[in-house]
Amino acid sequence: MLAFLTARLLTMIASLLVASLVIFVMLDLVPGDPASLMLGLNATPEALAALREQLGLDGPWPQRYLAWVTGLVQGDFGLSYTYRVPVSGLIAERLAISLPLALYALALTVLIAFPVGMIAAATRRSWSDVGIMGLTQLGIAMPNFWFAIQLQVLFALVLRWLPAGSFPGWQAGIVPGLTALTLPAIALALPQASILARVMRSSVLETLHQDYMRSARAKGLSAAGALVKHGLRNALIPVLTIIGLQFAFLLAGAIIIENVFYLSGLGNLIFKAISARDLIVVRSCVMVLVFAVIAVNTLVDLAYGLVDPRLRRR
Amino acid sequence: MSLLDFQSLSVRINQHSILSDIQFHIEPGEIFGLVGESGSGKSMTALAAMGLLPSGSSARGQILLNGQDLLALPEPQMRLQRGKSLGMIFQEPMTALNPVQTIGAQVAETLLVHGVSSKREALERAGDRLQRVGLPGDKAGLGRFPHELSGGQRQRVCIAMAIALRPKILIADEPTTALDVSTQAQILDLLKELAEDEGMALMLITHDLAVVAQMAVRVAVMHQGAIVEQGTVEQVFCEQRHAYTRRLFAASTHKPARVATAQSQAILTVEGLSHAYAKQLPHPLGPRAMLRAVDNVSFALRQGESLGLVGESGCGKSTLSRLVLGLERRQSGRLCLQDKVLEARQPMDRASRRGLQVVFQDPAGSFNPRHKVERIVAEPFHLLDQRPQDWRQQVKRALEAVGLNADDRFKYPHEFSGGQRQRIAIARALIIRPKVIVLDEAVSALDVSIRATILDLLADLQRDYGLAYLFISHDLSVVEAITDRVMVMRAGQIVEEGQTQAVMQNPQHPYTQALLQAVPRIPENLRPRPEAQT
Repeated sequence: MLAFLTARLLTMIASLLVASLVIFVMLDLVPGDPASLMLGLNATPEALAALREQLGLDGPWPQRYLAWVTGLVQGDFGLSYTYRVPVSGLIAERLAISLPLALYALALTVLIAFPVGMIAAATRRSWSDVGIMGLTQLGIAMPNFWFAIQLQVLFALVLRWLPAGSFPGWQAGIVPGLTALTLPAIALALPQASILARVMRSSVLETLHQDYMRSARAKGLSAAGALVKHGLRNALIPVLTIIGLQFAFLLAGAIIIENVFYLSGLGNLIFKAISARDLIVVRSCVMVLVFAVIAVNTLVDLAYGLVDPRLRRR
Repeated sequence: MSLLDFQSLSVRINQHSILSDIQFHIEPGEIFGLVGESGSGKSMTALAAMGLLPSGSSARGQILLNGQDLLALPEPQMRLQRGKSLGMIFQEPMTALNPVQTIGAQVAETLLVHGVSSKREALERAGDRLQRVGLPGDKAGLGRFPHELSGGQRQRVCIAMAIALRPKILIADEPTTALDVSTQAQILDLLKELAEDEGMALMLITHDLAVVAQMAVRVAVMHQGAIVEQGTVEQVFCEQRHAYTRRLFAASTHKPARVATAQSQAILTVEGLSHAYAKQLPHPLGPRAMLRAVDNVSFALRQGESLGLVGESGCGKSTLSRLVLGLERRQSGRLCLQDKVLEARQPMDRASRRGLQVVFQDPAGSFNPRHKVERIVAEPFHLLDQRPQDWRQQVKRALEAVGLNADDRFKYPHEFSGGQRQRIAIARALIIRPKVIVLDEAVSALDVSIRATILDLLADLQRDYGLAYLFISHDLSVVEAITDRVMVMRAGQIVEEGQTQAVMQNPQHPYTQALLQAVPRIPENLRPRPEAQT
């Protein structure tokens, strides 16, 4: 197990290094000079050169890359070109919304998808299965911003249960924070839950025909008991893979929902930074996302081992 | 009163009659055999008793367990009978266990389902039962996972699971069909011993008449969902009153009429062939251990000869066949086909591939299900620069040569039965007129009567086309029926080689002796009496 962990950790570090290099080189190739953007059209060449030096934009790229990576390791992400504040602060502020939102939405996704998928599989080809499959189809097809607006109308305007948007900040307390994130989390979770429920259904269906399910019935377990005790864990492997992918999407792909609910999340920050050619912010945000994705994938790999003993020795 | 009494049981699935008027009974402590070919309804009979018939089926009649009708029990009460009064084990031990649970937990589950309150007590008793079936029942033994066990060990776990609560009757559905002969002998001994020691009745379902002869007191023969004959083993085996019983017996001991076509000239020569696989590393920096799957094997196959290769699973038979076929690059050794040395470094050239064709165990898996038979059979023509002008004619002739209809070429593989599919596979191997056909467990998955016809076909084709066969099988009786010479393989090495008759009658190597000993045979006193053979 220790060897497995070490191997996973080394792979993770190597992936991060490769990713950082690719991100750096790609963004370095993008035309456009941040210094001239910051100083405007009337800047003198001397002022531009001075600013470039201050921002660390001169010098060969390997040197700049090394400076950036050492900074990253120490938690120093540099200064934003447009906001003129440390990037780490900017990202931390946005992550404080995006990360809880992603986790909240993921939790809802799993809570909806697991029972729904299992019920559909257990009652396959019955009305409840057909109904569930139809609803999940709708959940995937529906644009989530439209759904988000419907949620706002119903829960914020008509029923007045939940706020329609904006985030009070965590200093206002955990409950108001979570309340503010509830509608966006539902809007994000529904399409993902629809996808996951379908994966769950087909994965459980596959296990239903396995010989060990018949053995379990022969022992005296009920059909439902066999499904929960033997089918579920075997059905989890493909489901875990999808959950890992969904988390990455929820973390960075929430920009439309963030806009609908007036949340300043990470997606928003990246979008603005790209429009403003604030390359250092873009670079750092992408790096943070890459880190999150790789970390989640590593966790998923570890979870495989927990679920399936046959995968532990690899 | 009988222990288990089937009274005119009929089962229909979606309006198709699967079982009709099944009537037999099993006494307490008795070993009862149920024989028949696949599709005869043996397993359905067992599943009906377990209340586990597939959805969409309806059963009529009665199945009385100690006088209580199981078919009339509502599911919640039937559930309490399963595992407690009726235990069942299945054919495939490799897949019958949950791969993600320890074997201890799986055996203990039977106890927990039926009211043993504490997990600790259940595990303790599970340990006892595992010990009873010959597996370690200590903490480490309980904590093992199915993938860490061999097929025979897994079947032992299944048995422990089924007998954990000492049921009155154990239903064993083809319990040894997926196992090697020596493992089969061990499992059968265990089942017999358990029945005797625990006073447990055993309903043994099998297609193998020799197994029934060894084990059962009474036997019923099933055919097309009905019981055609039943009685004591002696009655059924010696008298064979029903025509189907006679056919079944004839097929199971069938030996095709072979004409010796072997010539002195070798067509395939193998010298010092070796191949090793890297074993899994104990830890990333551990020493790399090698598994010698094929270890310095040499042999020559003569023109028109039929050479058998027998051995248990894992002995290296399949690796050897893959090396000979050039499907795997060999690490050392020399391979020579029709006086042409085949280079190990290069992929086999097309001319050599034309001389060497193969038929696998599972024809369904070796056909593209979306191709029609014509395209499947014509596949080897890719080995020619240009498809012959009359290729359609050749496909027709090849299909007719293997006993199929020329019009079958417009059908898809799923429209055929297992035996017919194997004929298609043989037609495909034949169409390019090879010199050598490798038959890798080619008849192992077939029923005895179909196997008999395929063996006849192989013998005829050998006579007509002067083919050489490399016949790989774990089944010694089949090898005895179809080969001139035989090689016995163990742990990658050929331990004995000689004329088939000589090896079978007078084996020299202790391993061959043990292997032959383990093969179940119908004893002399259970052979049909002369008056029955009309």
